[in-house]
Amino acid sequence: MRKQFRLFLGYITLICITSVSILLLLPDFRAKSIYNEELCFKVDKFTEENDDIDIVFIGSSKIKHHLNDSLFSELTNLNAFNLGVAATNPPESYIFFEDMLNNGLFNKKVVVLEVRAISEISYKNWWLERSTYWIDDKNLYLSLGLVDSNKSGILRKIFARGSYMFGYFSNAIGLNILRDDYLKLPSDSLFKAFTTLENKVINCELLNRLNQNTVDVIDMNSKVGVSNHFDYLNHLISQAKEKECHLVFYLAETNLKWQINELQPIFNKLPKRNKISIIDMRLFPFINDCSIKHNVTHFDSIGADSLTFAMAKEYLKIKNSKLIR
Amino acid sequence: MLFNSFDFLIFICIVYCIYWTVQKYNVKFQNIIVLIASYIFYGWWDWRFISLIFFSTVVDYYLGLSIKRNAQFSKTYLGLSIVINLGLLGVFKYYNFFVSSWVSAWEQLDVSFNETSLNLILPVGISFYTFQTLSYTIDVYRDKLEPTKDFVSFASFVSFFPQLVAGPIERATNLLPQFFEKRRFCLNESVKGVSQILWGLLKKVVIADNCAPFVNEIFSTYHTQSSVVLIFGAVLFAFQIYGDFSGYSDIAIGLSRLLGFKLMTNFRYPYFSRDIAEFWRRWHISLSTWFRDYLYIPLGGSRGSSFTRIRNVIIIFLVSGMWHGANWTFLFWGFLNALFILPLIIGKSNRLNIGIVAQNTFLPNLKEFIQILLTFLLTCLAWVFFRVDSIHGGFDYIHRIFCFLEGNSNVININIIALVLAFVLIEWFYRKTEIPLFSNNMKISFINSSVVIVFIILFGNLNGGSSFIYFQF
Repeated sequence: MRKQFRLFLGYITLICITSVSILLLLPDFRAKSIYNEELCFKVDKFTEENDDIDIVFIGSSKIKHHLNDSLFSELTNLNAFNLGVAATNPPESYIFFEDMLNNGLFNKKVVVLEVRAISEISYKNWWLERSTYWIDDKNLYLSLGLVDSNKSGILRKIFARGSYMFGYFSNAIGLNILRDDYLKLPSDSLFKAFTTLENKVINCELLNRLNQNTVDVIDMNSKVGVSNHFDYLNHLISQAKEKECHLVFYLAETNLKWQINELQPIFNKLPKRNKISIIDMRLFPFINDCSIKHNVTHFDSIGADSLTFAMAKEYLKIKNSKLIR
Repeated sequence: MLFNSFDFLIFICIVYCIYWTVQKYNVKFQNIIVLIASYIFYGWWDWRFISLIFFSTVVDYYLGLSIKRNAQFSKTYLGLSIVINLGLLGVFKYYNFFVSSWVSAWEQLDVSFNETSLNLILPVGISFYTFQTLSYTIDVYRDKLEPTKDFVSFASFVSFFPQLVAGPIERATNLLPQFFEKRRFCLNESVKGVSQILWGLLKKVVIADNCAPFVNEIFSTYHTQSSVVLIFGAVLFAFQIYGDFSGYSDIAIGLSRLLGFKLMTNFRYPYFSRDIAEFWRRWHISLSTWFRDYLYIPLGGSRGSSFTRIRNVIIIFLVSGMWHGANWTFLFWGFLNALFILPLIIGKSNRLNIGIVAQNTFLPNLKEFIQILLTFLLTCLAWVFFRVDSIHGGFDYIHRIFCFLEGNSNVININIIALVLAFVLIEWFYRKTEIPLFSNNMKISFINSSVVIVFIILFGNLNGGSSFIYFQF
């Protein structure tokens, strides 16, 4: 009987190994309908209303949850649109901005683009860190993009596929629940890259292009590396200028010293007309007010309104000093 | 704890290892492990539920013994068991429904009452284990079973975790004796169990969970959908509920096999039935046969006058509808099924189709094909009432189908149709077997199981692990 039991355990192990091997060998093992539902939805809406919009906000959850666009519109008499998407990384924001700019969607508009520390994404394997920390399907997809990329070496390919598999299984077996319930990490249920056979038909062309560009950027990481982060931001400003778009970089509130240390020098060098900073707690004391915080990272709606007030005030300062034409 | 969750994966691995490690001692250790595992499994939802199942167990354990010891009061003890079990079910499941129905009925006559509803949560699987324990006391009363003095075995039987929350509703005569015998590891049964678990999981996450978003979308916006979309929604719901419920049953039976138990078959390819009577012999068999043995036959069954037969059938289906949930829609769903089956009962042709369809051929003949199609359409029609929120909504949904409304058909997705068709084809191919994709040849089973895992990962809707529909019953 013991022999039979061992045989059975071997049988189970072999099934698992075989299935995983099949999945690893499949040349195109990836979700069938990959898209970031939230981003696609917002882009569709933005494209629809494009002519009426004066100012656009791009960035992570710190834009998405903290910028009340209707309040901002009310305060500034401008039609504002919040294009923030949770868990967006700086390279993604930048590439998204460039992509939209090249498609003429930001012509004659003001774009407020969130700037975040680059070193938080350890470059060589940021996709691995992201995929395990956020269990972020979108970035898992990017890691698979690395596998397909001609620029990736064999080790990188193996590593990328491994991280993809790990992230995929963690997500599939509900590790995200562990993450939400026990680690109390922020949840991003809107990323549903692996939901096959989805109901809604959303144009994914933009996202696919964005994903591909991001993969390229990862391979050319010097482009947005810490050392030349400032140069890259300047490059974005001049690109925007060509399309008659006024680009304003936004430094969001944070308590993390290492982020401030990395970003403050870069930000100091930027032209006044191209920056808004809400990072200094002496100037914006509400940042430290625990009562308006929803969690460690995000404000509640009152906090978001306070931030929007501050943002509007800072924006009007630039505008009234005629720095924006 | 859901079968399709990470928690359960860890749980079953631990239980399985301990269970087969202690088997070298004696059966008591195995039963204790099953009991502890079952209470942990059940308490995972809400630890307060444990007190309820423990109460039910203690009551039926002592009443079972009392029925045998005091023959002159056996009827009283049986009555007590029925009252207590159905009383618990009534309070937790139906109290609020009856109160609100009573109040709204009087409101029609302009008489108002203060509605006193209880803020109760429905304990998961209460309908299943209540019926299971009832079968014990009834069988003891009928002398079909000796009452057990082994409390641990009895408690393990009542709370046996693989089938605790959504069946199959096991008879004490089948499952309880298995707790008295030492379970020995059997390779063939274990391989069979794995195949059945994987097939069940595939039905749940690939079929049911992929149909669910479409069904939810269509049923929540049915008043704006075209007739074609409404038909699509009704058909998908039929597959969703089948994949969900039979998937659960398969996982439960497969898990039991891994632990050395044999549970009854709960589904036998119901959508290949040639008439409604056959459908009910193939759908949720454990519940249908429970009602047959403990309600229909005691009421007189198919003996007696036509009136008695019609009455019995209507009672059975109404009770079955009511068992599914405290809502008029379930009652109407039961009534509709009674209407569908009555012509067969009256014409005494309800047992015309007993065997497997197209027994000796691969394809059915034209007559069989039409019969299968018609039966499927009738069940879909009834499922609409099972899914909607109100009877009026159900009629409206069906009315809209027959109005041939035109409109946007974007929601119809070719991928899900292909997936369901592939599933139907596999089921058809394996309709003569107990478990699709299982073979006595271990190599074939191995290949099939590996492929099923790949399919589950590639096509399963694995986001978050959704609950099983029948848990609410």
